[in-house]
Amino acid sequence: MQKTNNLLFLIPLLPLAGAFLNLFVWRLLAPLTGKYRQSDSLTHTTAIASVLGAFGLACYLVGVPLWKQYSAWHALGDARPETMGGLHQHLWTWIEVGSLKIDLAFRLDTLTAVMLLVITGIGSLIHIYSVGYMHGEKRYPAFFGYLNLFTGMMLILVLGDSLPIMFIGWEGVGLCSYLLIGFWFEETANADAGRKAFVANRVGDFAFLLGICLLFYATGSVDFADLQRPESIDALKEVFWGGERMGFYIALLFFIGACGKSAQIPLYVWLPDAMAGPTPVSALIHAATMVTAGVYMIVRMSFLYAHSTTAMAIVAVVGALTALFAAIMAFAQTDLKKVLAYSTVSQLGFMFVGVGVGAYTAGVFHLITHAFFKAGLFLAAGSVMHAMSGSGDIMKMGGLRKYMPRTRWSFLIYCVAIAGIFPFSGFFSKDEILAGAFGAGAEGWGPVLGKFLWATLSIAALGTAFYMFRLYFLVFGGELRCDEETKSHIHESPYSMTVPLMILAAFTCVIGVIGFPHLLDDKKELILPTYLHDWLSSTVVDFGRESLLMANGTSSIPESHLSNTLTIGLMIGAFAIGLIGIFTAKAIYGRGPSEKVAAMCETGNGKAIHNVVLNKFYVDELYEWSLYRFFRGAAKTLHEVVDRFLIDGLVVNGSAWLIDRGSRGLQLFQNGQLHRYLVGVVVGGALIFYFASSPKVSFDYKQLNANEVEFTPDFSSLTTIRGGLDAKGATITFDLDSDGEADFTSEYHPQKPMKVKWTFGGAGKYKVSMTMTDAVFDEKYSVTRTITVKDLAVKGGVK
Amino acid sequence: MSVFYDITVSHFLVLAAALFTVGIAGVLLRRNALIVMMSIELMLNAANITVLAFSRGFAGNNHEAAYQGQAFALTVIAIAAAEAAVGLAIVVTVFRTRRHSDIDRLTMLKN
Repeated sequence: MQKTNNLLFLIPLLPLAGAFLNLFVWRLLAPLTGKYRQSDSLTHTTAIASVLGAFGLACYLVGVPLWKQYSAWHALGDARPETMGGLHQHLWTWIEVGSLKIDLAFRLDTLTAVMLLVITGIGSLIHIYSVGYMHGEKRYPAFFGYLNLFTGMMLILVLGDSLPIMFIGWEGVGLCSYLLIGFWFEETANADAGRKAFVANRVGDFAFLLGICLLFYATGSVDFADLQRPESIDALKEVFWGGERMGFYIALLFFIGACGKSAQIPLYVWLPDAMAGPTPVSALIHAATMVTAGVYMIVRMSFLYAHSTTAMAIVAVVGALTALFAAIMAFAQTDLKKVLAYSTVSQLGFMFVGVGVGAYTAGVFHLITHAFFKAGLFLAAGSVMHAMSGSGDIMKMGGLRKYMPRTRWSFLIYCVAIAGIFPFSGFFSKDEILAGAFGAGAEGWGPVLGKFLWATLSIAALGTAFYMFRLYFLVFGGELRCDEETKSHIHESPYSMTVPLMILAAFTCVIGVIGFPHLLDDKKELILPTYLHDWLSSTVVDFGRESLLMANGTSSIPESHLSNTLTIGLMIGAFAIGLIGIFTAKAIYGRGPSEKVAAMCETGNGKAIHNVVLNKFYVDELYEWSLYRFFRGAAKTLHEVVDRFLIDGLVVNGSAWLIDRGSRGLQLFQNGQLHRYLVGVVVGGALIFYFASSPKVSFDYKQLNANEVEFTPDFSSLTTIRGGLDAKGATITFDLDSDGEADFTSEYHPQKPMKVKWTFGGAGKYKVSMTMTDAVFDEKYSVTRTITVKDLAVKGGVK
Repeated sequence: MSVFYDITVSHFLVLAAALFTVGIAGVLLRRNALIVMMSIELMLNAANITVLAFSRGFAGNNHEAAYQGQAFALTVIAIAAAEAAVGLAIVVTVFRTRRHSDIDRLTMLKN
């Protein structure tokens, strides 16, 4: 059903063009207008216009052509094909080598549509917000240029129709993340944070790349549509290594890639540090879009994960542990953005549990709602920090509700949503994940795994509600705790910053309607509409059905639809958990920092636990000791031994030294002294003459039997030098009994190799001489050898 | 005392060797380019004598071999003349520009 649409390429191209204009063109044109640098209004107009253009185009493409296709597909009922195809645009063939063919092609299907709207929609708001936030920044054009570049790359990531194209976007957003985290690189800590993000991402990216290679090795294809053909799926099912399927290893490698990009254990360490970047960057890249790329990728590859329940279990367990530990780490943080960063890690963990248990819709749903409320939280945090003269220390805030009402109300809405309070969006999405985890039971998972995931997530959700409202009460509740200097500057942020906050808050309130829970009436019809699920089902593989196919009709089909009572019970439970978290936070932090907690953190076990949590379980230190030092030591050794000694010392300088000394020696020969040259010529000529005219003669012998020996004269040196003419006349004599008399005489002829046979008296040593007489100069050359005649009878017994 | 009246090939060879040695000594020891060239002529003529001596002494009735040697000698004389002409021209030119013809001081191409 896929349709060609020629407008797709414009969606990523617009932000990329904006980046190009802001980074290169305007800068070069600025002198023409008589100014030293491009004007700020031109910069942000370009940036915002390009993203808004992409947003408008995305809205049109999703709303008109894709919607039409979806309606037609949906109307087919049970006869509809498994996937819809969406809109497709093939630009050109990028690489074609052997059987590898990579097209630069874009596809807009329902999953991509969701991501597109989130990226361009929230992206536009954050661009607008940045106008106020980055006001007066020295590198204003660079900031907007990077932001645009990021948006373009993210759009390539979600639009790409094959893994390599996706990988381009994947790397592109990593680059922009690095550039923007280290945007204020004058401070070493910021530059280090950027580098840390880049390196941690690199680990994941490499695994992702390996996964692509392995997938190509297994199936011979990297194109999403090709990969879903039955023959490719069969290749994924083949046992590869250690009894596991090919699909498991590919899925695992992809998940490591997702861990890097989406900050999961063990690669999450970069995200909290990434808060060194400007706040709009944290909102756009490190909350709403880039960090969700891993979730998107796993959903995109759902057909692959469906064929390895082991890989899915790993995804879900890692996600659940990340959700829990990140939530715990958020308790002790005192920096506004750090709390939000750990919250992001935790929420991403929720998403991974969602996709890990096969509740892809739930994962994507939480991705959407999280994008709204977490982007909003960051923007609100930026607004607060803007008011507090740039400081993010929540211990020095408090009582801000009086000063910045718009920010406060938005913040409260986001907090309520993330805590999972009905009817805000976070409630629905989080509940769907919890329900998915509770009902999970894929083949080979055992009965407790789903319950374990559910319990872990529930604790994490309790923690989420608690730390978010701890944050809220410390920032907005109680009394102001800052100094007078800061206090005099507190003000509500300009409308360019608060309007995006309000828009995001509005969406946070209502976006939950797209994912009502699955409640079935007696006729097995849905009571409430489930828009997102229907919308995504045209793209994402239905895990239940795939498992059914996998199990080949045998038992253990997962029950993806829980009963109504259970569903509602879980919802009430989740709601209660949220309320408990909120009221606990209010009880402890309602009037500012709690002295009780502070006292608890100062003594005994409380202090130890607090230290561990405050230091983030010492994971950074662990990495430093286990990886950083190890690699550093190895690199140092390699540097000293291989680089400095072998390459620099022996190869580079050594060869130079050798050439230098050698040429000094050779210099003696080219000294311009004609006489010395001539001495060389004469001496050399004399030497050649001497060696050429002193023949060496010899002979070989071989024992034929008991006493008989055969001699073969050898004067090859003679014949080669003098030529046949002289040697022809030579006379050969052998003296075989050492009496000085010739026993054998013959004239040598080069064409007739001569052999001499002689019978000795018995075993023993004999002295044999051969003499060659030169016919021309009448000179004799003779050679004498002692030969051994062996007693063959004794040794061999025969002959 | 047959060596005084019975002249054999060896006598010619000894003469040639003596001439050649004188030539080599001249080339190696003298610095004047003109003398060096004369010494080279001496060596060439020593070679000529050797060739002719072998030609006369060993060719016997083999006329072809005899003529080969003599033709060889004539070729050497011709080439020696050409070499002398070119060499002398060079020596004269060098002498005009440098006011000397000392080969030890003609070291422009050194190194």
